[in-house]
Amino acid sequence: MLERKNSPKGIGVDVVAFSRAEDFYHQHHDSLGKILNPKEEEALKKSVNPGRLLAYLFSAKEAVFKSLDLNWLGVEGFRMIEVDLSSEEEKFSEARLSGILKEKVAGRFCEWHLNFFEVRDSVIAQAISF
Amino acid sequence: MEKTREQIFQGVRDCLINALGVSENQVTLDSSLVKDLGAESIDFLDVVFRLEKTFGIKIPRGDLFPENLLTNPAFVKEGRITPAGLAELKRKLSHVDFTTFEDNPLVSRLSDIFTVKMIVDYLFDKTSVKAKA
Repeated sequence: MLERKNSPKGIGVDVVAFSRAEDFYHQHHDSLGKILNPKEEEALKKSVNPGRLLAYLFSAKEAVFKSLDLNWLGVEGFRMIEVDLSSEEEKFSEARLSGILKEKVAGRFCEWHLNFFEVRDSVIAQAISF
Repeated sequence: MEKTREQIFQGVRDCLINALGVSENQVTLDSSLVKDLGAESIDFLDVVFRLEKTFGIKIPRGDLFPENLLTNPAFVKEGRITPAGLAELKRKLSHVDFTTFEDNPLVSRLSDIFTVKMIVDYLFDKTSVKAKA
């Protein structure tokens, strides 16, 4: 089959309710280093609404993960999906992979683009893998 | 001190009640996290974090939920787990009862194996090993 250059290879979508993310943040804010890299943690600390930003980050990581068509990689797997998002005001972003996850998908995927939508009290992240 | 299965079940039940917002009588050993208790993506992380804190253990990647399975063509074919895939699942998740799943090993049914009993059995083995160490 002829593969077109730059054709999307995977798509993933995830929805997270802001209230759910806020509860999660309040309950586990001391453990977020397990799923967030230092840059993401820093963005969360600076945010005026960390629960909302966490909803964005979490839905983005899940969406990227789903676009890769891999099985759940657990807590550490989440940390290997790095989302470039400093504020929940941004509607577009990109992601990078690291560690074992990057090795797993090498040769199949190389870019991940993210779009965000807010519907009612939730954020929807859409990830497209190239 | 080693905990009994009943004590572990009570601890797991409390974690699930707090993480998933379900009532005490909704959580039984046979309850499926996804199908019966409505767990979603963020909920699995919340449950894992709470279990680690409650039982004072680390739950390594791949311990509770299988990995490297769905991307291996030897383990999945046309939406079904192959015999080789099932053997791999049993090897990695020795605390899980696959009897019901084996009757119809569809990938779409895989989440059915994530039951409260699965978690209790895993924690019982884990805390027993830790106590003996």
